[in-house]
Formats: sequence, C-alpha cells, structure tokens
Amino acid sequence: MEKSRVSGWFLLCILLGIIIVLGHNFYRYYLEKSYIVNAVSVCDPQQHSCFEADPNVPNPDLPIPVYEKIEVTAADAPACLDEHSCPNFSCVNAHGTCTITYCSTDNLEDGEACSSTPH
Amino acid sequence: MPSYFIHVQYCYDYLVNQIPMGLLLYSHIPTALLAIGFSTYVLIRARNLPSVLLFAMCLSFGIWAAFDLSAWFSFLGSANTMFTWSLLDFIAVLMFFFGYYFLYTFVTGKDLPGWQKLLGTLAVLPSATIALLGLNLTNYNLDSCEAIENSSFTIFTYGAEVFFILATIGFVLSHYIRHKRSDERQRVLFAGAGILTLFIFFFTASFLVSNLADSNASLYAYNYLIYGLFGMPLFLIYLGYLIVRYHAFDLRIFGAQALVVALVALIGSEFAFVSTLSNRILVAITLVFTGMIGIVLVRSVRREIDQRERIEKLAKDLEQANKQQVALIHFITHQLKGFVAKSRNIFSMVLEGDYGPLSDTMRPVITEGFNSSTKGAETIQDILNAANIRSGAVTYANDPYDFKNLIVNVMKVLKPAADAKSLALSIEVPPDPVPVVGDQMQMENALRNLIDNSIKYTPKGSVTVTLTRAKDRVHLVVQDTGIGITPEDMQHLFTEGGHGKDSQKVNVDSTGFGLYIVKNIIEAHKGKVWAESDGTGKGSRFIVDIPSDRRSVPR
Repeated sequence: MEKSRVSGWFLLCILLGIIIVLGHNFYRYYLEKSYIVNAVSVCDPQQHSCFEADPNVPNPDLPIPVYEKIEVTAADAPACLDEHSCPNFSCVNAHGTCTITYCSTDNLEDGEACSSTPH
Repeated sequence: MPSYFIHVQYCYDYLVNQIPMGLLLYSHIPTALLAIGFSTYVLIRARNLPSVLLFAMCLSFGIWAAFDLSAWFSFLGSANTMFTWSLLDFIAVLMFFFGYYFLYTFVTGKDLPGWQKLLGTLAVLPSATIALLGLNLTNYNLDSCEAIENSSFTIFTYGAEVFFILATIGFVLSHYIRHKRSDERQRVLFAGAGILTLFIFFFTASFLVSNLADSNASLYAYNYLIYGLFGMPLFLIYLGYLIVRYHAFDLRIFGAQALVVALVALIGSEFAFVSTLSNRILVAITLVFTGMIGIVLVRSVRREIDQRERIEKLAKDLEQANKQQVALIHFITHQLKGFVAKSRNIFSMVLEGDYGPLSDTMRPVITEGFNSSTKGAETIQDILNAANIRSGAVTYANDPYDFKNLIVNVMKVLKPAADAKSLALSIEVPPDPVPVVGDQMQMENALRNLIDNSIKYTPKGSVTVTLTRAKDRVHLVVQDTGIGITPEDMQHLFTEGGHGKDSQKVNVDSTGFGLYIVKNIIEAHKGKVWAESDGTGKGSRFIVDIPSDRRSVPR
C-alpha cells in the first residue's frame, strides 16, 4: 500500500502540531523560565520563625533541618536555591511571582514545627 | 555519571537514592534504540504507509523514552525536567494514535477512514492543548526534584489512552471474526496482541505511577514504570514473528538477523551497568566479536534463504510444467483412444462379416489387427485412468453392491485370456452374498487389472481367486503360480509406471499403470492391497482387504 496524498497531508499536519508544541514549550521552560519553583532554603532562626522537623514525627526527606519556604518564578530563582542554600534570598529583585513563607501556626504541615520565636 | 553532566548535585544524590541508575538507563535506552532501529529498517525496506506509521509510533516511543529519562535526570536542571515532563502525556497519546493507525493499515491494507482520523485527532487534541498551555504541570519542587502534575488534566491523557485501547480491541475482534482464513486470523491476532501488549504495559505503568506516586507504594509504582517500557520489545517480538512467518512488509528478514540485532542490543546495553574500565573493555570486545560473528551468520543464512527460494520457485515451475504435461497427455491419449477405438470397430465389423465374407488368408491378419487395437485401447485407458487418479479427477460413487457377484463376473470376462494361455482359472466364494459399499464400476476395473496382472505374469499353471468374509472385512486373495516377485520389485510394485526388473520379458505390453490403479481404487474404498511372494519363480499372492457394508454386519 502506497502513501496516499490525504494521509501524507494528515501526517504532515500532525508533525506541524508536534513542532509547535515542542517549540512553544522549549521557549516557555528553557528560555522564558516562566514556571514556578518551590523550594526550602536555609533560614536563620535568630531572625525569623523558621520551619523545622517536628521532633515527635521525624521526616528523613527534609533536605535541611531548619528552613523557610520559597515560591518563585524559575527565571528569578538563583542557582543556590537548587542546593537549598540561599541564606540571603530576597524577593526584591524578582520580576514575577516570589514569596517567602516563614513558620506560623497557620501554615504548619504534618511533620513540621516552628523554631522558637526570634528575639 | 560524569560530573560535567551534574548541574544540581542535590538532585543527583536524591535520584540515585530513589532508583538504580543502571536500571533506569537499561530500561529506556536499549528499548528506544531497538524500536527506532527496527522501524527505520522496516521503513527503508518497505516504504509504504504501514511502515511510515510503524516508524511514527516507534519514534514517538523513542522520544517519550528519551524525554522520560531526561525528566528523571533532574540533576540537569529544573528547566530540562519541566520541558520534557510537560510533553510526556502528549507524546504518549500520539504513540497510541499512531499504534492504532498502524494496526488498521497493516491489517486492512487501506488508509484509516476519514471519520476515524477525525476521532483520533479529537482524542489527541486535549493532551496537545494542555501541553501547549502548560496546564498539566503546576510547578517544580526543588526539594523532591520533580515537576508537580495537575491531576485534573492528566485524566484527559488516560481517557485518550483507554479510548485507543478499546478501539484496538474492537478492531481486532471485528476483523478476527470477519476473516475466515486461519492465516489471516493469526495475522490479525498477532498484530493486535502486539499493539495491545505495548498499550496495556504502557498505560498501566503510567496510570499506576500517577495514582500511587503520593502513597506508601510509590517506590513499587516507580519501579513498575520502568518495567512498563518493556512492552515495546514484546511488541517488536510479535512484529518480528509476523515478518518471519507471514513476510509482513514483504521483508525477507529472518530469525538469525533478528537474533543478532537483539544480541548486540543486549550486550551493548550492558554498558549501562558496568563501571570499571576493564569491564567496559570486555563488554566492547564481546560486542565487536558478536557483531562480526553475527554478520557472518546472517550472510550464510541469507545465502541459504536465497537458495531455498530458488528451489521453491523451481518446484513451482516444475509443478506447472507437470500440469501442462498431464493436460497434454490427456489430450493426446483421448485423441489416440478415439483413433484406436475406430480401428477396433472396423476390424470387428470386418471379422463379423459386415463387409462380406472374409477369406481364410485375411482372417488371421484381421484378427491380429482386432486383438492389437483392443490391447491398444486398454493401454490408453490405463494411462488415462492413472492420469485421472493422479490429478484427483476421479470421483467415486457410494452405492451398496454384492462383491461376490462382481468378482464372479470379472472372472467370466477374464476366462478367455486364461484359456488362451491354458491356465487353470478357479474361484472360491462364500455361499452368501458379500455386500459392500462403493463404486462398483471402479472396483470392477481394479479387480480386472489385479487378476489380469496375475494371468499375464503366469506363463503356466493356475490362478486361484479366493473370496472370504470375516466380521466387517472382506478378503480377496489372488494366488498364482507365476514368475513371482523379487524383494527389489516389491518396493515399486504399486507405484505409477512401476515395472518389475524382468517383467517386460514376460509381458511386452505392460504399461506399469495396472497395479497403481488397483492400489488407488482400493484405498479410495478405505481398503488396502498388498503382494506376497516367496521369490522368483515361486508365484505371487495379491491380497485385497476392504470393509464390508456395515449395515449387513450382524451385531
């Protein structure tokens, strides 16, 4: 069976669709970096109320023992965030979404506790 | 893993704690390469729509496997994981669509109807739109080094995959029922089973992972995702079988070729496991040697296949030539039979005085002419009968008749021939009729040939025919005091044109078809015939054993 013209055009349209989706997503994720990243980073308990592991419910997956939660657009995320070690992270220079969450009784999740209140 | 690949050390450590790197590479790379390599080979050789669609499906699978591996490699950075992960669902649905499209064209030999193309496109469209708008991933979690999926949208992907699975099952069932020929049915079944194996492996893997990722069983689910990829090699095995067994795509690929490719892929994939330099060298040497031996093996098998195909072609040509020859013999013998029969009739009329009184000097000549043309007609009839039997053109009636009556009549017909040689021709039959079922005319032909054979090969003495009936069998023994049969002659006694070594010294008119005709007629009556002899000059026994009419057998 030879390829008919109709099926040739049909497959070509599909290929075009694939290229559009691929190209668009490449731009969005690689170049624009417009997605949100969530991370925990080092937190100074002397300055902020930091999250820490609940001593009654130990969580071995926690990358660092005392932390703050950061939600930021990937384009604004510094490389240090990948290793959870951005002690001076601030949202001042961020262009998109950027929030830093410190510990409070309202945002505690299972296995978490707040460090002692800073002085 | 070389350090220049690792952009995020935390994610690399996280990954290797989660899953063995070797298994991850082994499950993705060889399967993807095998699928793309195999389908590329088929595409280059076949160049038709099914081969294009097979390639499209395998390429989709290969891209999916590469993107999935890349998504696992979160140590390459979040952008890499997000980009590849965002496309996985769309590519998976495309693979399902191409899989169904391939199956349809492969089985039917036609392009997919327009309405099915439209339905397929509608099934793919939600996943494409979701991927384009970036709705399937909400964000990237740097703690677990993975993208977070939006389960509200992944449901469209599973829905589309289930749609294609059901469409495939429906298609296979309907075509299996529609096809009457068993080879066509097997072709549908194998192609359908291959595609369904791939689909079901793939679907259950991704569905389980997606639904169990957050549960305590997440580790098992992730491992199953890896094994889910092995649906592709299974599909290729089905496809390979179709190619070898049914010459799908008109390819002359054969088992040895497939085996060598699989071996090379298997050994090559060991690079994913070995870590030391010496092991890598050993694997490389094994790979090179296997490749070289494989090439030699494939070439020799290809030569054998070429030879076999040549022989098969020659056999077909020969069969065709034989058919033409049989048709020619039929034509010639029919014509000859007409001429000889006409001469025989003329001799007969002259002998009977239809053209006036015959002088004493003319009578022996005309008698000789009559006898000779009678023998000629009989010989031609034997040749015709044998040709009819060989070509399967003989049909047998299934009527009840008295075998005793038949043999008595045959003996009466042959008595003049025995008398002419001064042979004592005697018969012993049971007092009651011997009912049998079959073709009386054909059986008469067989018995006449059998007893006539004994008369011809008995220079002096006697020919005795004994008929007995035992339970549901009828036995006929033709005993003569003739030239006997040597063990050598016994081997080709009942074969077509099978003469005894010295038989033509005794019977110059022997055609060699008589006993061949006897054997075929007796066997067509579910009976058997064989000969016994104590050797040269010690006479022969021909024994016929046929079933009697069951209705007449006393219970």
